Formats: sequence, C-alpha cells, structure tokens
Amino acid sequence: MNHKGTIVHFDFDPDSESFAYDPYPAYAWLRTNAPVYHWEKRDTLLLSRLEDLRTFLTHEQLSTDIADWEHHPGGQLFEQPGFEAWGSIIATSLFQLPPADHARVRKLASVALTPRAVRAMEGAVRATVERTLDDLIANGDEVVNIRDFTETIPLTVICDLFGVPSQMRAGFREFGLAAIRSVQPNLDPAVLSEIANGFTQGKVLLEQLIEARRTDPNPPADLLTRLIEARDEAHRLSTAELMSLIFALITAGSDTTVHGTCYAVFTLLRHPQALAELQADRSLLRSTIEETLRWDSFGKIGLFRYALSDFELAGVPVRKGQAVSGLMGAALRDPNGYADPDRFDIHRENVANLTFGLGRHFCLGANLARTEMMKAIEILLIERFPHATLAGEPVIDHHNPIMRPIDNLPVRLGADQGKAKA
Amino acid sequence: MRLIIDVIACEANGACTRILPEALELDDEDQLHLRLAVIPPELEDKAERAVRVCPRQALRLEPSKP
Ligand code: SF4
Repeated sequence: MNHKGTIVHFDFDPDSESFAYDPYPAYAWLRTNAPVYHWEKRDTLLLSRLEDLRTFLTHEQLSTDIADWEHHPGGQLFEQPGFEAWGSIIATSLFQLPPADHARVRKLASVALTPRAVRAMEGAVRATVERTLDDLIANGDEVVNIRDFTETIPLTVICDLFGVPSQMRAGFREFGLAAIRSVQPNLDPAVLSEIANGFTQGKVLLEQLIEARRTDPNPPADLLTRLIEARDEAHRLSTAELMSLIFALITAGSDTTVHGTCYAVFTLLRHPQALAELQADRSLLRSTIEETLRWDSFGKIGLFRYALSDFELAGVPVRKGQAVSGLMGAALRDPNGYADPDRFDIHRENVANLTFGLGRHFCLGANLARTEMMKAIEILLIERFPHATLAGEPVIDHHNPIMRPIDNLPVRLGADQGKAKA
Repeated sequence: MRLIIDVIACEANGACTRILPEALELDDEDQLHLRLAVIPPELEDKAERAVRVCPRQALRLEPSKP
C-alpha cells in the first residue's frame, strides 16, 4: 500500500549502532519531514510528534492486542512445543482483554499501586537499594558498572512485595525478558524456541508461587493473597487472568525501570551542574527524575499497536491490521511540547511525560517505578557517592529492537559518604 | 463548565489535584472528589490542563446545563 506523503528517502536504521548512541538527529528529521513515517523493514508507521503520540496512545481504533495484527507473530510462537498452554493466559493479559474485563482486572491491582499505597513501601524500597549498593561495592572496585546496580532493584522490590522465594527470582527475570522479546515480528527459529522455553518455565513458576500461597496456613495480607482470594472466593478473576496479572506485575517493571534508572545516572553524571543543584536541594528529586526520562529516553520503537479499521492518522491513511508505533524519544524532544527541548533542565514544571503511556494502558506500576528511581538516585548520587564521575563511555545494546538499554555504564564512585543517619 | 470524573478509570495518581486543588481533592482512601459543581471561568484554563495531564484520561469538561 502506498502511504501518500510518507515516502521519503532517508536512511532510517534504528538497529544501527550510531542510532542507539544518538537517535536525536534522526528523530528531529522525522518530526519535521515525515511525522508519520513508513518504516519498510517492519512495515510499520512510526509517529514522532508529541500530539501524535498522545493520539496514538489513546486511539480507540489502535489495539494493543497482537491478535489484531496482520503479521501476528503469535502463530509462530504457538507452534513451538509446549507453548499451547499459554494461549488462554496470553489472551487474558491486560493488553488483550476487552475494555470491560480490562477495567475489572486492572482495578484489582491498581488500588495497591496508588501514590498513597506506594508511599508506604518507601522504607522497603530504600532497604533494597541500600543492600544492592552494598553488594555492588563489596569487591572494593574503583570503577563499577552501574547496570549491575540498577539490574536487580525493581525485580527485588516486586518479588519482596509478592513474597517470591529467592530461588525463583532469576527464573522470573528470564521469563520477563522472554515476554519482551516475544512482541516482535519475524523472529528467527532459535529465538522463538528460547522465548517459548522462557514462557514454559515461567508458567511452572507461577503455578508454584500461587499454590504455595494458597496452602500457606498464615498467608500475609498482601497483594498476592488478595488477588488469589479474588479468584477463589469472590470469583472476580479467572485462573488465566490471575496468572497473567501476576506475571505482568512481576515482570513488566523489571526491565524498563532498570534502563530508566541507568539512563538517569548517566544523564546526571553528564550534567554535573544540575547534579550539584539536586544534591543541594532534594526537593528537586521528582522533577529531576521526570526530566531524565524526557531528555534521554531509553525507548526506541516501543510497543506496536494495530489498526482495527481503516482510518486517518495525522492526515495519513492507515489500513486495517497495519502496525503503528510511537517514537517516544522523538516526541519527548518535540519543540511543540517543550521550550528549548534539547536542554536538560531539572526545573521544568509539569513535564507532560508520556514515558509511562496515557489512558487505558497507562503503566500500572508508574508510581512504584518513579519511587524506585528516586530512591536509587537519592541514595547513590546524593547520600553515598556524591563525587561519582563517568569513567568512560557507556555500552548501549543496539540489537535490542524496542529499547536502547545501557549494558555497561562505567562509573568511578569516589569516597563513600556512608549510610544516611535516620 | 462542568468537570466529569470517570471513577472507574481514575487511579488516584493525583496529577489533577496538583493543578486544580480548588476543584479536585483526593481523600485518605484514594477517592477523588469534586468540590465545585461548576468550574468558574477563571479556573477553566487550569481545568483544561488538569484534563490534559491526567495519565488515565479520566476527566472531561462539559458545558454546564442551562
Ligand atoms: S489525574 Fe486522573 S487518575 Fe489521577 S487522580 Fe486525577 S482523575 Fe484520577
């Protein structure tokens, strides 16, 4: 199909190394010259303007359900041995459920993740961050990889919250990574079988976790117990819904927050003046975190959505089944949304931050993710290692199709100022 | 103008209450309350911003009935 007005000759290669390190020239070009860009390699329309991203995230005719996609990869995945059992579970994930069921399932979890509820978890988050930092410096290395620090924080917090035994945690991390890879089209057979394995093992873990809690004579009054009760007693959740919701809660934040925190450290160490201001005034912490998410977004292509009908988007025709995605990093530098968008400014007020989405699928864990990021930065760069500096260039994974994760961020920590006195 | 809250969609993120505390209030149980039946003209700008920032898109503005 010919997308009028979007065909341009422009070397857009988001899988290239140069793009991973600095996508901003390409983003600026797209915003100006091809705000609805047809990316031939994956037959996807890519949006780059802030207003178009808002439309994309809230559009009733754009579905997050992979079953609505004409190049639906599910078929491939479901042919993998042992994968059949996942069919019903995936069909009840929050990205797949029809609106009424979605609202019912989501509400059961969202009440446990409001800002007020998350405030009560701050002490636990702080303890996790402190412990992780102590592990990081245990070897006494002068230069550390900050990714090793950010890697386990979100998973540990959520596993503590759910009472997931420590021997299961590595398995859940693998499971989460498999799920992230599974949303990509045209995967090769080796990757498909790895993904299917991750899911198969993940299902066993979920069943063990739920069964252990159900048979616990004194179950703790936490979210996991409440969700199990919602299925067993109130019949407000089906078994498949229960499994996919627990899976989503454990894994969804365990990758994105890792990268968001890594980028926050990187961006602050590149802006020593802003960091000094933050160190002098912790009330800037919240706006600083928002600005790090805006200024250098770890997102790349993001999650695809699929057109349910033929319609027009920003003046360009979209056909039924067409894949559409939003370039978050481009939108967050849109001059029509932010004054002087390329400037890192921790004083920006009410940054219209779409990092966590908008509308029906707005990130369920956004408040928890923000708290984790704030605690990690506060403890690492304000309380413990205020003299930390970059010890080289980061290594960014340019093979990752949807994000630009930092694999290695070498940092010279300097002297430890010790744990904060309570 | 009147402000309408979609109580199913609202997840007590409080983005709106920071912008329009004159009309919106979260209680200790994360319920959002509307304090003004009608949004006076001088608050309309702020109300529009509150509608826009709500991450769940749970607010909307409607003309008040005559
Ligand atoms: S910003 Fe939206 S979700 Fe948050 S309290 Fe206000 S209406 Fe509810």
